[in-house]
Amino acid sequence: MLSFETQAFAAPPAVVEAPPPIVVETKRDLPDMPSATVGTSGGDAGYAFEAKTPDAAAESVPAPAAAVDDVWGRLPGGIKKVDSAELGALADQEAKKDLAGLPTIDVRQPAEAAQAPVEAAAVTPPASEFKLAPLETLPAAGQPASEFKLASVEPLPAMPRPTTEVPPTEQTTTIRPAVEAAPQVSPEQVAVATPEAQAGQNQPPLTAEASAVRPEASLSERFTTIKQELTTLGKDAASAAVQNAISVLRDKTIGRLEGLAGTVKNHDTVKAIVELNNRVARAELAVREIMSGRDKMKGEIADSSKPLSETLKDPAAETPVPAAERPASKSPENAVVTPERLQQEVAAAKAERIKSPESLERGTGWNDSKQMLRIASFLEKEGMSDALEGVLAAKHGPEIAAQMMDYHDLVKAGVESGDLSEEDVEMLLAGEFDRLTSGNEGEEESGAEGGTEGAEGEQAASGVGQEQGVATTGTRSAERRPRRERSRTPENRELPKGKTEAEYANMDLSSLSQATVKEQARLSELLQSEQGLSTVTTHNQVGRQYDTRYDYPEGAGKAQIKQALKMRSNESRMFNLMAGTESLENENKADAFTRAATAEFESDGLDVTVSADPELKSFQNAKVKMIQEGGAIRVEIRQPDSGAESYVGSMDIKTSFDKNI
Amino acid sequence: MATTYQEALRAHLREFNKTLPESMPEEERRAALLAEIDRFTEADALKVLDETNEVLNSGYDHVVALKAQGDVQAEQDQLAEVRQSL
Repeated sequence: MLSFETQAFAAPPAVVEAPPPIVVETKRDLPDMPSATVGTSGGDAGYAFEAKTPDAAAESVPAPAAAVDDVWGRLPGGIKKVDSAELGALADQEAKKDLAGLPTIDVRQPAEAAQAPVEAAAVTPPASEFKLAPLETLPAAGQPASEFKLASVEPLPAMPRPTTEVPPTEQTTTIRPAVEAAPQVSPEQVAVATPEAQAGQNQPPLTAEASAVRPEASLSERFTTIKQELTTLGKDAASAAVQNAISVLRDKTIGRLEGLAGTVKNHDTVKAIVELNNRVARAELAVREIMSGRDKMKGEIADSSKPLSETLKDPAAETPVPAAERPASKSPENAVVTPERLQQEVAAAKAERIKSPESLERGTGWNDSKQMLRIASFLEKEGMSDALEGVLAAKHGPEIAAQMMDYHDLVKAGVESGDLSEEDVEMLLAGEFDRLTSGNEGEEESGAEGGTEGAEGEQAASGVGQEQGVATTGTRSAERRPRRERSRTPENRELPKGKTEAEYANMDLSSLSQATVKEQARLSELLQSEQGLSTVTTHNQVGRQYDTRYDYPEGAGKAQIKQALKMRSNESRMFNLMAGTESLENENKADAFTRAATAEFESDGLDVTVSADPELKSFQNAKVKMIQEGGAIRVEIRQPDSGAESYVGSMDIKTSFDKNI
Repeated sequence: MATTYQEALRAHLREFNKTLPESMPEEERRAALLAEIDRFTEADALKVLDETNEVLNSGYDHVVALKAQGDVQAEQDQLAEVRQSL
């Protein structure tokens, strides 16, 4: 890169008839260089020789690139350690050799150089090689080269100085690759992730605060302004974490950019920096809006003179759309998506929720729908439509699931056509799910379980015992059984009562249609807790069946659910293994199980360590629960015959189990 | 359907409020909502700031590349002028 100063040297002054000589200067008089390393280095002012001892900083002087390259090439190995006595001589010797196309090489010590006259060049080099400092600019003896400034040469009058006001010329446009569009600062990325942005809304307009960065402001002024605003913002932030994030943004990220901006001359680069600066301004504005909203909302909540129901009331509730005007969403004739209908659906869904808020107070309200929506969206994106319907069927039954799928397709079409935002979709689906499940869920969930869905109950519920309705902990009531049976697929529900665990073991539980949402979520929760993720929040204290909310961390939700599904699949394999060992009548059950499990999981390349309790009498009626603990899987095998909580075997699979599935 | 952040926050609190036990006393409910406001807004603010940091970091690399390209171009332009003047 050439700075202005260097650019001035890039061409000979017009008054000089002959180019100045190339000067290769070495510090061979340095007394403390018993063993120096010589080499070259590139830099803004061109190449330079370096003579460096292990203890000393580099001493460098500017030298022409071509000369350095040639000398470098003559020094064996490029960089070579030489004695101080040899250093100068070696450089002299190499540099003085014939350098094609270069003027006379003048190797001298600083003191000599300062007094030497300019020698006319024997050969006129191309202009591109005029990167030499005149002799009078060489550092004086004892003056560190690093402190020496090339100066005293006036820039060529005809040489234009690029400024930020100069637009890109046609020539530069043709020469440069297409870099005008900055992918890293595309509008999508520039968009601030406010709730409005997430909902597909436009960015809020810049307020006077953000507009304080005047369009005509220089880069320096822009940085000064934005840093000042961030400083103010940091003071206003009540959270230490936010303050820290602001500090990082201001001091590290912007600071680095600011340092770079000081050397930027060309238009495109300035433009890109301005864009980034504007991006920070918008972020600053968004955070301000968040903080302002926070303060206002806290003020409203803290105002005990106003009822909470009034404070939290939705302003849109004032214009409800009559439910009668809402078109049915499930009939085939309504499968045609029109913008008008979708808009009606949005309004109707909102109105429905407002009209009957008590319906949301049931156990399967908004949160449950949102949770299911997350899973459904994930499955849909993964192209697992069948699985999606299976999940819905497991939760709500096949009829409602089919209706939901119909509606899901409808809404999906609305999204693809651009008629619906994400917020609209969430509202529509949640509202529709509520409608579809109302009544059913009401009677199903009427048996509030109080605190029995706590940790102990949850753990016991995730195994087969839950499927069968066997009260392994004594907290499950018989009232659960009808619901469980109904939530299964039709063929499962047709199974006779008293179906053994071995019969369950033969089922292919990897089919999602046989895995309930809650089971998947519970497994996922276990995984999350084992992986130290703290974002799982439960609301068991509410005493509802579907009262556990899973807030997957951003970006990890899919992985977590995949983990859960994979666990479910492996659990199925364990059941199959158990069923297989039943046929090994003359062998020790535990040994057979160990062998079979090892072979089964090793076939997947997993590092398996299996240990089963030798007291294990039979796998008949045994229950299996798989729990991931870090990189291993623990399998608990319970045998109701010998006590509900008896632990009869284990298998440890030590592996980096599907961290990236 | 543009909504202010405050209204988005209100909507969130409305849903959060429904997850609280119905029997929860008013004062406790208000305290829970206030705590949720802090948690929710902090998460949002951090998200905005972190995203901005990411954009700026990648933008920095882009600016470096642009600058290098611009420098080379400027050098070529000046050399071309020098050649013309010789």
